[in-house]
Amino acid sequence: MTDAILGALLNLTNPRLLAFMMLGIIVGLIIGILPGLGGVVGASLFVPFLFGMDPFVGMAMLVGFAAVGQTSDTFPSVLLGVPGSAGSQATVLDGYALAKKGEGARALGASFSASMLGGVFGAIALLLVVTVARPLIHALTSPELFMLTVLGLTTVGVLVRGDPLLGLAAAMIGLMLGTIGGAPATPEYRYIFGTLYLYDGLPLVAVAMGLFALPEVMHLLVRGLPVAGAQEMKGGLLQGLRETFRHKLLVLRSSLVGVIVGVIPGMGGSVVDWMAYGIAQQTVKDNSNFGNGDIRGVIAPESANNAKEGGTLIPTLVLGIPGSGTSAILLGGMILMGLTPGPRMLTVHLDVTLTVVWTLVIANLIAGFLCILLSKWIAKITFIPPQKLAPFLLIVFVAAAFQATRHYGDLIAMFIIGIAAYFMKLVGIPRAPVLIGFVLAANFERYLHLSMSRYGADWMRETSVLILAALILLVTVGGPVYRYYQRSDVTERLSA
Amino acid sequence: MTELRLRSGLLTVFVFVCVLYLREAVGFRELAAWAPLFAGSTALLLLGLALLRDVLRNIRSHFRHAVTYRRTIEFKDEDVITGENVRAMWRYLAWVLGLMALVAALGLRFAAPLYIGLFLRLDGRFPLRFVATAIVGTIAALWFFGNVVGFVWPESIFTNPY
Repeated sequence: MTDAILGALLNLTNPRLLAFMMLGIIVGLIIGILPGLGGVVGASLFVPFLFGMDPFVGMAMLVGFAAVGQTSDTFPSVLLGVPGSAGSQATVLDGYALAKKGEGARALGASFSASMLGGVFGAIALLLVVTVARPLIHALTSPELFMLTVLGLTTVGVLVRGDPLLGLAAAMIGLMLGTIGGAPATPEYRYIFGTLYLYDGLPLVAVAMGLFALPEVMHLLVRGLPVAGAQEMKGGLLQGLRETFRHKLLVLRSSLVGVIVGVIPGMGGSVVDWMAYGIAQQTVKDNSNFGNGDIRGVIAPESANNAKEGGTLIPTLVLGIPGSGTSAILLGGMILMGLTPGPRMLTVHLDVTLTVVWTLVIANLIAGFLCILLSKWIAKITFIPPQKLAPFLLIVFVAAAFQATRHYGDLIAMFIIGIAAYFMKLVGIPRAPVLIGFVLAANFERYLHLSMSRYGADWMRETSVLILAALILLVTVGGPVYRYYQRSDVTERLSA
Repeated sequence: MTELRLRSGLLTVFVFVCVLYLREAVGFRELAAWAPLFAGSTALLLLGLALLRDVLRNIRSHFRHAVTYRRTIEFKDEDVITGENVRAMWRYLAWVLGLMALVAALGLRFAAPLYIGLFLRLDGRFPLRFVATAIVGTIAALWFFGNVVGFVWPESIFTNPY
């Protein structure tokens, strides 16, 4: 095995492979910087070029791309308050708050170093788990997957500080949006209002950009001040780097969350950052500054979303089950290059699999260093007057939203959701749970249908399901109750 | 408490949408109706409770001239709605709507440089030299991403509706 690992490392000395890996990294970084242009749009750009390509070279390019999008997507999340991709939504909460205080560089430094470490952790996990992953993935049946989806939905109750009622309501609104289009189990088209566009449901890009991108730009314009209200940039990259290493246990914990969520097919990138953020918020010593610019609120989701890439590759490579949209395209690319995803990736194509592991390590390191090198300049975006920045951003949003299905419906959907989300932002109704509900709607429905049709109502009595149900109850009721008592305690102390 | 009243208004709209959503869901086949019925009824219950809470707070604030209402993580003091903010909000909503209309009428290729120019000059009042540079940059970026990367831009609805 050691020989195979070293042999795979030697593969990376091939100049052609290195060149294509760099191409993947650079495109990944650019796509990550552009808000709303997630990994799926970017990965799909590569597909036409993969046919007949050398599998080592092609995989290095694809994995190089997939590995780094989660690193550079921090730029828009921290500097503009617009998630660069689905996996960097949670970073917005504290990253953007830090940028507004003029500490954008510090947030970026912490974020890139956390991403780098998380990515390397994910690659190591892929290497370690790859041989034992199959039984774990096979052990999860549709009832457990359904309960995990519900757990993902209910964690919003924990995430939305102060008002779990509105958080859960927002998640349900997201679930409602997700049910638009064809039903998975029966030929029924719901809420399509006679339009062909809605047959496949609303595209994630349009919904995500409507929920976050448009309201943030509107907010910037109405406020009339640059993102960073402070006059000078306080804190630096090195400070951020140091803070990541100071919170190494948090990095480790969040990376582990990232890998675990990545391994579970369908949980994907939209949830992992929130889970890591929620866990960090609940487990760190003093969480009173979370949401207002706590550096740990940046470190946790960024470690997790990069580590997740290694985890996602486990079911993709070993079972041929894509864990996310990007890995679905990766899977298609592998087939185009003549590889058969599945157990053969651990026998016949073990060398390719191990090259993927090394590519993950090296791509994350390169991307981290590149972002650190560039961030001092890119961080200056926060000081640009909104009137100078907004028209360009609006054009980017329109162009990006249109790439989803290339239909005018994308723009209309983004606009309508954007206006509603702007008012939600104004009156304090959280928008993030809407996106989580929307993303999990397909899984919610699919696994519910599979469980009911296969097991009837008996699945609800399974031990694993009951354990997960207890966990959901604990999260939904226990979180708010704990916070209520915590707040009462603070109020008492203040009034004393 | 303008925010509280605005929130009550928005929650009322959402409750109304939920009712319409559920009304439609009742007519679906059983398998297709499970998720919409669950999502719609839970949302209706939660939104109804939130609305009721806000209405009670509104009444309390009206009579006692004091209200304590918890703010969510996204709600910050700077979001407080003032008359000036409302005017700016409508102005920029019009700009966003204008962009959509311009893209639909001309297609993004022509609408983008025009919009950039108009916005920077009329709203930002930036010097002509900067505006011209921005327009040229926009055209170059559109050409690069359209011809080299292969992105597809929305065309005018008068030439190609879909």
